[in-house]
Amino acid sequence: MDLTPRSNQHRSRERELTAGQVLGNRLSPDSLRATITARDAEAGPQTTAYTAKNRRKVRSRDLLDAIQRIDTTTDPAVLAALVDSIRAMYEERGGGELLGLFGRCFLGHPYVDHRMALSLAILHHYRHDEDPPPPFAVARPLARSDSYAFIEIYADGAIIPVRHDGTSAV
Amino acid sequence: MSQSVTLASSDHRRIASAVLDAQRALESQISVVSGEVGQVRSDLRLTTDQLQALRREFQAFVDESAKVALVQQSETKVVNLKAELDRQFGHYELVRRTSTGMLQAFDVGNVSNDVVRSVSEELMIQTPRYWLAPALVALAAWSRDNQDIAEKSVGEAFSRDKNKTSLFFALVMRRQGRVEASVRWLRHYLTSLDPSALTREFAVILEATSYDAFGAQGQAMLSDRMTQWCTELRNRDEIVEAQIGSWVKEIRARSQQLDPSKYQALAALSPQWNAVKSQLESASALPEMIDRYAAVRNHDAALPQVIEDLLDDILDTLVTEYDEEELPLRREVTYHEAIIDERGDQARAQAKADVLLKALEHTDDVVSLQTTAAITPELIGVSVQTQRIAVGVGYDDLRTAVGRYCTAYRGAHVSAVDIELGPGHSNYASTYNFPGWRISTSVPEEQAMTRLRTVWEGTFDQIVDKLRFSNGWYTKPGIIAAVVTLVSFFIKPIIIGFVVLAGAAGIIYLLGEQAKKKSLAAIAAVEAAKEPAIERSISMYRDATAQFVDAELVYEDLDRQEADLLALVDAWPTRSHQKESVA
Repeated sequence: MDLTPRSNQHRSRERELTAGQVLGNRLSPDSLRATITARDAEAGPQTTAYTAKNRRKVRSRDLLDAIQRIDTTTDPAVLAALVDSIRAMYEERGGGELLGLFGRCFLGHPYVDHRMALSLAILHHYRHDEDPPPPFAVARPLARSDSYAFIEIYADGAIIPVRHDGTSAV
Repeated sequence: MSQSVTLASSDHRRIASAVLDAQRALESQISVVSGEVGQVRSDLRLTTDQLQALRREFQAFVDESAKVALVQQSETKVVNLKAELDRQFGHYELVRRTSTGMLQAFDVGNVSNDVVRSVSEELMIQTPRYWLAPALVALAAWSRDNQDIAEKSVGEAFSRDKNKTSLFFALVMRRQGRVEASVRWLRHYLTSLDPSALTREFAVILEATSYDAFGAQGQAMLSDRMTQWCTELRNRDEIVEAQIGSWVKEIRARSQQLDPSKYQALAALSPQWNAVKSQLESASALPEMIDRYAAVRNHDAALPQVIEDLLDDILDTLVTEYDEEELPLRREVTYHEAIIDERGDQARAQAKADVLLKALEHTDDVVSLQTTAAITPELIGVSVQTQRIAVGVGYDDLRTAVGRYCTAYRGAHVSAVDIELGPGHSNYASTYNFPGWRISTSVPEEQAMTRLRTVWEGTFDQIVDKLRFSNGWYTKPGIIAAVVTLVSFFIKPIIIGFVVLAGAAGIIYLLGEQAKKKSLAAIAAVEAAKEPAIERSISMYRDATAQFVDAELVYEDLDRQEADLLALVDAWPTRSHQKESVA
């Protein structure tokens, strides 16, 4: 019987993926989709009252500003640092494992929205005729709404739209 | 020999002329028949159009009449149920009226103790099992200082309904200026309560608190107890979730029914019409919520100046609103009234009744009771003033509910739909075997119309190809003629064979020409129908896309009002301030 806690299993898988990326095996959207589907198939970690409460906390102005800068940052090194700082701020919030963020893309035509997978430091912009991978696809109609700054997608399946003032919409 | 040849040639001419005459006659008849067929076809098209329209109207009529029947049924049922309520519990009414009447008579002091005594004792006998009757006997005994009867009667009332009796005497004592006794009854009442399973009369406490009816001492005790209970209960996630759920249901119940007549083309041609309809209906709840709760916020009723009047009103509510025996009948009335309000739409009526029936449950926790006071004050007998305060208490739940409600329908938002012109979308399409066509509204209109035209042109090309005269037509008559001619060559004299050959060739030629003309006429008829057919389909497509654009604009306009609703909630005058943590 495998007694490894589920959250550790997730973490070890992520380490492998990150290592793969470092070795130059860039993850294709397909392999990422397979990873996410595998995650979905397992019952994800349950949201505890503690993490749920932390997710309801208002996001700080620094965090909101950093996320807003994603579109305008072109230098890969600066972008990597930005993603790192965002990841650190999320870890500090203690809201549980965040798969990534999804939001409206302000790069302009043909891109409509983008996904930022925090664990993999992948930023991907999507055209309207492209489909984001499963957990992010659900957030797509939400990203169209002006009411939300971005949408958080957690490993336990929670999708939380965040308003411009940093409050959770759900 | 030469005579016979001449004869044969004159015969040939006669035959040819007869054949030509016959052909002319036939042509004129064919053209008459063709004209008539054209007329019939156009009549048929008109009839089919009318039939389809009739079918749609009939279906709408059937749906509507089913709803009307349901409404009529519910109307009858409501009348019967109210009659039943009156029959079963009407005699309580006299006891209820007597209770406040008696208190007012004490104020004025113009009624003798004997009358009060005889009236109350009579009611005691006439209304068995009812808690209020012994309470009145106790009041009468109190007024004439008969402690023994008073204690006995209070004991009886208490055993019949301890909660209502405690509350009744707390209010009566307060009304008579016995503050200490009133607070004692109140404490007695509160101590016996389980905050997670309060009976409905607790709403009186909410009402009394909002008017400060128990005076400073009573108010302080109530306020402490309520704060303690609410804090304890709100630590339980399921309780908070239940309040958010109630608010979401309340918002959903405010959604409007879409008038489908504005979107007929879209409804008929888009497979995703239900999603479009659903998102419009969902978003339509937002302005309704704003109207409803802005009215509550702006409510400015003058507070009663005289404490006796206020307490009489509260006593009235206590004795009329909360009798459990009446609840099953009142629940039925509520459901049927929802059917009438929603004009026979069962699903919507059920959703509305769900919200209302929550207020008619036997027991509830104190937090849920506050939410009920905020959503359906009329059903637990509290005033708009109390509702106003209750909305402020549950403001955080309402805010979250608005967010969840909007997120749910936004998550299912369709920003583009398919427009499908099926093989039977118009009579032209049915007549000319249109293969069907589907396109998304995200494709630019010009491009879509070009594609539609191409599909139609392909359809017509195929028909024209089938109708076009081909030389293959000659094969069959040619073979028959060849066989007949061959046989005729075996008949003497041989000239007969030549005559038959010439005749057969002539006939085949004439028939061929006729077939060519027929084919050309059929092609011309098809070509004539081509442009109207394409125009009809394009116009249907454009109507549907225009209606989709309209629907999206209306949706955006409605959806935008979430911000207004949140602004209304955030600026709620009686809002209890809760600390927000930031990280």
